[in-house]
Amino acid sequence: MGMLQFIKEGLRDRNGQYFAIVAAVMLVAPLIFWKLDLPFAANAMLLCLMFSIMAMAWNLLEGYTGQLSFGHAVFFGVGAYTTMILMLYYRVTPWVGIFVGGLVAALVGLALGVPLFRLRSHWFALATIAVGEIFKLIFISWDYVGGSAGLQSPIVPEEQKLYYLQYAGSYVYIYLALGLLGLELLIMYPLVKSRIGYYLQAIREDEDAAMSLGINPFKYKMVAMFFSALFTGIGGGIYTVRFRFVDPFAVFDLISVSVYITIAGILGGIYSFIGPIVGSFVFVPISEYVRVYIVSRFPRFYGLHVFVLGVILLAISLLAPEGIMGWLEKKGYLRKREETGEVRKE
Amino acid sequence: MIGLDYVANAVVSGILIGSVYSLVGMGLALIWGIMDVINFAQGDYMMLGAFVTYWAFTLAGVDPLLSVPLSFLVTFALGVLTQRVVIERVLDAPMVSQITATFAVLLMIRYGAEAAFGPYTKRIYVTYADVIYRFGTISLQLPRLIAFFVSLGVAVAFYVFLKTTYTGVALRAVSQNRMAAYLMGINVRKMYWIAFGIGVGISAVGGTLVATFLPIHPEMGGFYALIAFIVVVFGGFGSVFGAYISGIIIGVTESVSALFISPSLKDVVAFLLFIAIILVKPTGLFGTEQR
Amino acid sequence: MERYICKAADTIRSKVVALVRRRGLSKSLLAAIVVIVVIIVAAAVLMMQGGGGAVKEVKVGVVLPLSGKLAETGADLKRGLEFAVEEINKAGGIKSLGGAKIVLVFGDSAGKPETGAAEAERLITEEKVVAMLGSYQSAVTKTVSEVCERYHVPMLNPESTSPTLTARGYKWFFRTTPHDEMFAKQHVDFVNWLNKKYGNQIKKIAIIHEDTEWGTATAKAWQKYFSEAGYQIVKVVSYHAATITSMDSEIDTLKAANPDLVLVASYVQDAILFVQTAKQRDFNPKAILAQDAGFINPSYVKQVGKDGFYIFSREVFNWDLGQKIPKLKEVNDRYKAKYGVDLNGNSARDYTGAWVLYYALEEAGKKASPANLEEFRKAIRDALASLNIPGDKLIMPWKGVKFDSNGQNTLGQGIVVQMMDDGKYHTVFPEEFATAEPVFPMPKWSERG
Repeated sequence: MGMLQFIKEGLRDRNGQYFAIVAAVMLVAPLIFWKLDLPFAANAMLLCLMFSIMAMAWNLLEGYTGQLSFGHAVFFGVGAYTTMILMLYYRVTPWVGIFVGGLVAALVGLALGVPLFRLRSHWFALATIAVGEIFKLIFISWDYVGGSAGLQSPIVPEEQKLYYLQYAGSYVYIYLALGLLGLELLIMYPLVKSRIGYYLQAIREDEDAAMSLGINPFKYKMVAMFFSALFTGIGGGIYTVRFRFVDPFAVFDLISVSVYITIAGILGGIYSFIGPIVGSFVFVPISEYVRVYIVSRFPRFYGLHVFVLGVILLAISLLAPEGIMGWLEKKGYLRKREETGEVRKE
Repeated sequence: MIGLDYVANAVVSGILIGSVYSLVGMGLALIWGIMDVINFAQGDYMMLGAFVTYWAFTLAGVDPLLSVPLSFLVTFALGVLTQRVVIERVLDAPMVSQITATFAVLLMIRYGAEAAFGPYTKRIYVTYADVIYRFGTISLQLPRLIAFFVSLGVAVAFYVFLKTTYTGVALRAVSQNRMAAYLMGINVRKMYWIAFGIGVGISAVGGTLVATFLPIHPEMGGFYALIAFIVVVFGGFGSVFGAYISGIIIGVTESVSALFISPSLKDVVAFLLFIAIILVKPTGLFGTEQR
Repeated sequence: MERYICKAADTIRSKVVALVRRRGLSKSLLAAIVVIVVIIVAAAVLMMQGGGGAVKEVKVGVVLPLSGKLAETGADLKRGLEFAVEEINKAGGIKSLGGAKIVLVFGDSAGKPETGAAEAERLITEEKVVAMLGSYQSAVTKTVSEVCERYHVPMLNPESTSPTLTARGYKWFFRTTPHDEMFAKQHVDFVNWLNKKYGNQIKKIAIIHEDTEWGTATAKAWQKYFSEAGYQIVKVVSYHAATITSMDSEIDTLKAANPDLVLVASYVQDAILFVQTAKQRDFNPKAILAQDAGFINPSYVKQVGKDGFYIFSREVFNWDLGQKIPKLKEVNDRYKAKYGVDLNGNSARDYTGAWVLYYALEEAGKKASPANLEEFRKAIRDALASLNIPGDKLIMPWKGVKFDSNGQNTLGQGIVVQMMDDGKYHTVFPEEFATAEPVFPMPKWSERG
């Protein structure tokens, strides 16, 4: 009965009501798309959710800890490949594989954190770009993971569909992504509200001051990295089950993975808990729309969709560095955030 | 086994291409040193320089070497514009805004060019493209040789500019101590414009030179930007001299190492080298501690 | 449809009303919920396509790289398809369906496997195509064909050459072009023939290839078959086509290994770069043998000019085959009249692919109707599986079209061409299609004009 009580309480407050509406819409939309045969909309929604998961994870490092990463494609790719390899070579179900993928990505993150966390701000960003490229090049030459040909999983018979999570179209995967996003929120929310969350923000504001207060920046950065890489890797796992094909060019791509994640996070607002989700849901449809309706109609202008991304990113950086959520809050459309335990950014 | 003449050729080759790396690196070093801003889009201004040359050559038959001043000026103007509209606004902003702003500029230039010019590779065919000088077993292609001397000329000119002209000295003053320079009556803001403009202009000259012997396409900037970062980190930001030498060194290293390791791993080595350097000695070999 | 929507709307409304009564939610919140639901439903309804296919037209989906770096090739392939379909429709369309016209519906893969897959899904579920054609890049064909296999839509692949595509046990995938292993074997035959003719001058072989699946699979096949045939592989170099700016180190490495023959697998821009760098660095192997792709592209031919002379390439097709294949000459003349360029390996393969699909459509039309989509698709699939087209009906230098149980056409073969000093590729092998004697060894750069 505790659950019902929790829901009742939650719905009493404004935020809770918004949440309920959004959740309801998210749950119903895929059914509508499916019934009306709208694969484009379903695909777009799935991408929004995947980027939501990954941008939120990314923001753990950026908004909370102040480490800007342009290399999250590494975790995405590692998660995707791990899930695929487990599925293909060891017949492990992706229900488990996705989480293992996330874990492997998290471990890779920890390993990378050791040398890289010594670097501050722009050095760190540059290094993450370099690491992303290195992983891509390694996977291209590595035969075990299929090299440049990548890996494709075979189509499984009807009775194994649930085991291998193989379904046509994006519809089923939207629910998978929703579940994983929910899981992520459940884990991240208490995390950032806790002491650890405060420490991370302290590190972001002034690492040296934090150190003088007895906070070990390295240790907490590692914690942030662990969860950041974990969920990004899980995002990769979703990609694997949805497309059933991974290759280094797709999953380790700087622009379409790392930069997209970064833009989603920054657009939505890095100082807001749900900012990255908002950012994804605004940014992905724009990008897809430009790509499908403008670039495809006029292939002469290929590259235009990324140009538009650049414009968006520039506008955000110059005009609204705190993203959509930051802007909304400044204009007074949102409730104060003291209750939700987030530190205001002056 | 790899013969000595192959190595010799590789060294010469590396010096010639390294001189172009030096130009792109010098520009980055200047911007970095004066404003402490990392211009992620450095390679893309170089690409613009290459395309200015291409269009001048294709549409008006202008010899690429004559278009050096043209591509410098056009890119200089664009650089000043970028500085005014973008960089100025984020100079004192949190790091994340700086990084994302310059990265956004990168996306806009690179993909704007791609949308405008088409994603296809283009080449310029100069009349002297096939001229090759041979000294024993070493072969030198004329366009590359010319590129080397032009780049050397530009570097020398730049050095003289910094040491003897008022603007040059003012720039150095600003890089050493912004507040003091301001108090001395130097218009710091204008200096920033000039610094950024020259920084990307020099890079564009590199692009012009490269266009004479290599194919150009809108995404070529990425590679040169990476090299520029390695060059600057290796040679130390703020040190123009250091950047030039280090460009040559990087060119030679890349060229020679390709003989011994698979060329496709060449990129991995470059990236690893970059990470290693910033981990170990971020101020570079010739760097001086700034601010 | 409308009934379903009304019912859904009613259910939602009553639920919301009950919620309001029990919880006392504010009016504005209620309004918000209603508005959101209405928007979603309205958008969905507006996006709905019109009803099922009329039997005046049969829709065939095509996924190709129409934008991005391979857009030139995509345009080539598109031309081949459109030309064939135009011919077919002019000749009376699908006669077994009362003259129904074939309509091609294009999807742009932009060169990416995920995009290709998404487009395939759209074509299948929204456009309700009866079959799929495409997609050039093996990586994209992989995902597109997986979608087709899953939705039970027959796919005809005229141009992807990765051997793995027909090694997956798919039942709905058919490929007309020979694949890279078949081509590699033919390369060995050619080199053996060259050696017999010119006194065994080729012993050492170097390979340079781009590093995506196509280049890598080609290189592997080469290594396997040439080693088996007793040749010595002295160097294998790979590079990344999309970002390569200079091939100096690659060429130098090859030069240092001193091969007699260089095998090249490149796309257009890198092919141009390869040739020009080879010239600049004065790299003179006895012969250069390419695996079409970039080397047969008209853009390459134009840009590389006389530097491309005397390079061999495996090809699937060549303009001068018209001298040996009468049907080809006739088709090429008409194609050239319309588009101003000759058919090339890409447009010719897609042209052929469209015709092969047409034959299958004719067969299928006898047994099923497009009104029942599922049945019709299955009928097409069955028709393809049992197709047997004799060589003289084709413009390709093939013995015919007949698919094995994996969907691979076993009767195809390639040819080897060489660019002569008139700037055109001439067929030199196999002998029954040859129109010229090969020039061997390749004249050194310094000896040329």
